[in-house]
Amino acid sequence: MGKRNDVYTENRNSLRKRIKEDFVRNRSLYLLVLPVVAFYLIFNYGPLYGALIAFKDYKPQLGMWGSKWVGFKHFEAFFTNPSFFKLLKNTLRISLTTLVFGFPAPIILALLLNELKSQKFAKIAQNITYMPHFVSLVVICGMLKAFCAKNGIINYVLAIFGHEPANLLVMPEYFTTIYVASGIWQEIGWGSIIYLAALTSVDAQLYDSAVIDGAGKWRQLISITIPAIVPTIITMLILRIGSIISVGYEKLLLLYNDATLGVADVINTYTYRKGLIDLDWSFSAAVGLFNSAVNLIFLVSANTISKKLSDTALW
Amino acid sequence: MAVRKKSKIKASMGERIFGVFDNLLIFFIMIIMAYPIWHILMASFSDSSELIKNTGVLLLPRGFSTKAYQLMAKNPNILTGYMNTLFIVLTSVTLNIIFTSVGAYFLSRKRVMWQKPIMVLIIFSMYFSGGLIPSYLLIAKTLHLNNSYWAIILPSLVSTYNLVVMRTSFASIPDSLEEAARIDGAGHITILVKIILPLSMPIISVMILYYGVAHWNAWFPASIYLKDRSKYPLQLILREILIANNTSSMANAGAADIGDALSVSESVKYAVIVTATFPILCVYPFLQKYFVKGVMIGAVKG
Amino acid sequence: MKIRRERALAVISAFTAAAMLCACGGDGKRTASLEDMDLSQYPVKADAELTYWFGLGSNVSASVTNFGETALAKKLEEETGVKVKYIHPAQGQENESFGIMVASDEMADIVVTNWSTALGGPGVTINDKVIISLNDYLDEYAPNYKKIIESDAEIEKGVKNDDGQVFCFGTLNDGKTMTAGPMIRKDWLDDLGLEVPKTIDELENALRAFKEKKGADAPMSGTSGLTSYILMTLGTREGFYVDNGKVKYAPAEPHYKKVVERLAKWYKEGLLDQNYLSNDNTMLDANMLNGNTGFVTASIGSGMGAWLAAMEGKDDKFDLTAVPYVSFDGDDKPNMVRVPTKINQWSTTAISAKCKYPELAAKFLDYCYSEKGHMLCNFGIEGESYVMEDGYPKFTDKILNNPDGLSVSQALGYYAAAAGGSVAAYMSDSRYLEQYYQRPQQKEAPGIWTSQVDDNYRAMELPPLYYGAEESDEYADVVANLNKYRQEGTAAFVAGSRPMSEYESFVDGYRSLGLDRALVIMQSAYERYLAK
Repeated sequence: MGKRNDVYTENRNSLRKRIKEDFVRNRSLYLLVLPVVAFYLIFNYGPLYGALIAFKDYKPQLGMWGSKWVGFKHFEAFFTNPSFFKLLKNTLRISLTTLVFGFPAPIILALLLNELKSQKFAKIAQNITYMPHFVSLVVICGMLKAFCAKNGIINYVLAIFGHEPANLLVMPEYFTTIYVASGIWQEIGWGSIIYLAALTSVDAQLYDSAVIDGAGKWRQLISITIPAIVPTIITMLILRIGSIISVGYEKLLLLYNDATLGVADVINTYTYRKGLIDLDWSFSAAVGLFNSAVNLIFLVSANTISKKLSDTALW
Repeated sequence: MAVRKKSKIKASMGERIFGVFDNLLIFFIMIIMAYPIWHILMASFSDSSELIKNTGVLLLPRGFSTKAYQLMAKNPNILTGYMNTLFIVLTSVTLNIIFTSVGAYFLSRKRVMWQKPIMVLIIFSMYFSGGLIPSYLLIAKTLHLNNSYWAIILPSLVSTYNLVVMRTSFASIPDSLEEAARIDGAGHITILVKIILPLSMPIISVMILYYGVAHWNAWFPASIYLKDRSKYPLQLILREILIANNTSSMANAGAADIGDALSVSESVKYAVIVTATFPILCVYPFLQKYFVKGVMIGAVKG
Repeated sequence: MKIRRERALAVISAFTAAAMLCACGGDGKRTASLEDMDLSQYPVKADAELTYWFGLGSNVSASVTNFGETALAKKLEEETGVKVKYIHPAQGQENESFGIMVASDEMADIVVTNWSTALGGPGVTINDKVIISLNDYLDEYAPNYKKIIESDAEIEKGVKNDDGQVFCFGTLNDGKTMTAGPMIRKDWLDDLGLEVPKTIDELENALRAFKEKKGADAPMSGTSGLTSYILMTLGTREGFYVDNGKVKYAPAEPHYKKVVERLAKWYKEGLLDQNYLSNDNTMLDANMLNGNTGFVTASIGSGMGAWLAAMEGKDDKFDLTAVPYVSFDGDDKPNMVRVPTKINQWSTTAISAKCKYPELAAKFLDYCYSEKGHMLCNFGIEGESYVMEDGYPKFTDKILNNPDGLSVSQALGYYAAAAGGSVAAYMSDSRYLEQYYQRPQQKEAPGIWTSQVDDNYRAMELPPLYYGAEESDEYADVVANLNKYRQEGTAAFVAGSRPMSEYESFVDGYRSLGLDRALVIMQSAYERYLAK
């Protein structure tokens, strides 16, 4: 008995001691970060009570606390909606396709830019490739509609390969491809910037010694260039996986039509219609919470896996 | 962009083929990427009634006209909008960089006990939020920031996404440098300012770009918190021009003016984008040089 | 630093408390009492200011930044003697701003929004003390408005909730205005020696002739799919209607199938634009102006007016005419036609429960329904924006040919409410549209469409229905699902990717999505409407 108690107090003491030691050692560090923590507490955690409306029938005029508690009513309504599984399926399909093709694209572009001999050309190429990011979605989607129309330029090109011209945007089977490809078109250059920045940390001497060792381009890429940007890639990947279920609704709303509704309607377009058009705040909050929970699960899993496989992890 | 010392060793055949292929591929990508920009530029200088007849690729303006820009120049708010946006962007980005680098510095240190809980706290906030109304009540009613630029600047002081990205970059800086400084008696602020930040110019450039563009494009908070139209940032004013332009040609137009409306409305859409993005596009070339400087870090480290 | 943390905590707790308090904000106290006011005649004597919230439209914001600066607002203040402060949300942010205004307890005295459905509908909002019932104020403070609503059953039922409470000052019209409908290339018809089509077969012939002889690539075109306008052109609709006192869902009825079959045929033959689902307005404009399309359902202003103006001087033969709704299979009448309504449900003006002087607000709003107010809201200021000629208010050149280069609607926005985006509580006068539409084709269009409207068609129209809170949730869900299912299915049948043999089972699908339940809810709301 006594011995156990000793262990207990010892543990407690050691914890207390560790806290104390840590505080002594890192006091100035904690002071430094305090404003950042305060920012998070005030602006992100302060309004957090608002998430409670997911469990209430929120009526603005009654206020946050005056509204009636309804428990899981809105979650139930969402899960039992006849189109729930379709929405989830569409969301995951679009999101995963974007992840598989959209994630590596900027990395590849950054590597290709990095291999260019002419610095001038590389700079111009960078400046041009990142520009589509600034074009508003309305305009991009307007262009897509014109390009994909039966008499549009894409059909013109496809016709060379013997493809029968048709309006591509009304064919459900092409929708995901068009969505993902146009996303890459718009964001590849912008996305590559972060990797280009990471590539600057590669020591040029490493390449020289590699060449002396007789390593070819491919060998250099594998053993010098890529390892240098792996931490960035992993961080970006974890963050990306952590938003797996969030597919932006704006572009979809602009791009889908009656014929592609079946493959293009995702959770966020659905909540957009419910929340912003019908002002159903509670329901939107419930779906938002569901999204967050799913995303968080993915994030934690990705982080755990990454921690096991590599050194890089968010925490 | 890493500049690499030209290797003196002669490139092999395969490497040369790759080089040609790489150049061609980038050139091809550039053309695809340049097209939308070109399209917008040409469309903004087109005559709308001609422009709407255009269905395919637009290589030159159709019926050259600067009417769209004239229409925008008539709007007295554009200039104040630029000034307001400039103020918001400069103030925000300065604070963003300070706060984010401090946060990233803290999160990238070793052997700090409360680091993990704080990281979890920060990550968690990425996913759960209270929604629009509690934020509004906090900012407008509790903090009394209504109609103030701080209502826009303060809530976006740190972006968690950017914080995490910056932390990753800080973490890759070798500990040896920090330890050496520590032995010389340097404190955290000295280490951050004198060692970490100078070595991190590439990532700081990226952060300036990410934050700057985000603030430049933001209009939603302004639409909620700012009441005086003289305080409106550029994007909000341009948005209103777009909406006005849309409705005047849609819902209630009927008379002789509609012909005119149609001949401007389509090109205005594009002129607005040009007006809104041109200044911010000019920033990147200046930041680009820091991507090159990164090479010297490698030299220092080596 | 410790102090800082404490301050952070203090801020957090302070604001939590504030948020809690917010839920129980009481009614404001009067600073001036009713006894001190003289509201018996205009201008009133009252030492108080009202706040008035509405979205300022682009027609008005072209010349001013606040409605209070317009000639209309100044004249209103001068005539009524009521001081008003106008508050406008940022354009395009009306919904969000409205939500925040309600939630943060900052309601203005007078608020314009879609009160027929906002926050659960007028039954709920009066009950929850968001807005007030006007019943107690009509007799004494709003006699002009009272006279108008009592003289017309359609208006009266529309502005009352199911409990018989008048909840709004409506945006009213004489029920003869129609701003959009089917139209056709008149010059092509004349060239081909064809009459204006009256039946679906005649229309089909015309479309085929357009394709074969006029080189039209997409003889019939449209934007974003089978919108209510296109369906209406062919005698059906996307939603509910009334058949002999019973609420029915048009897409589940036989006529919808006929329409789908016909459209499928047209799509296959290339008579219907192959891009009809994905077109945006720009592409439709291009089709029209490039001579790809000859038949379309569009608005008189931005469609017909814009296209005629754009082709002026470029192709002088280019001509459009409105066509009547077509009948099917030897019927002598269309199955359904579009019926104009007298109330614009989307913008209604209500007095909030936060208003300290509802009497004053009612008196102020009532002015626009008086004879003088009616002229002011529709035509502006006599001698400035209009002159009377033989008892007809004619717009001056200040409006029609504005010297500062403003468009007609922008110039009018400064003087009158008729161009939209302005105060909405008044009765609009068709003499305004008569002058607003300047081309003969535009002027005759509304008549061509409304001439078909008779009492039978009127009886088919579903009036504005109001639901309880629970009902409206359930109803909205079911309708959203029905709509999606309908859109997807219809598109597939028209494109031929789904064979017509599956059509019956497709219709059965509506039932499994809760159609019957929606019909029950609507039927009872409809009966409550009739009983008002």
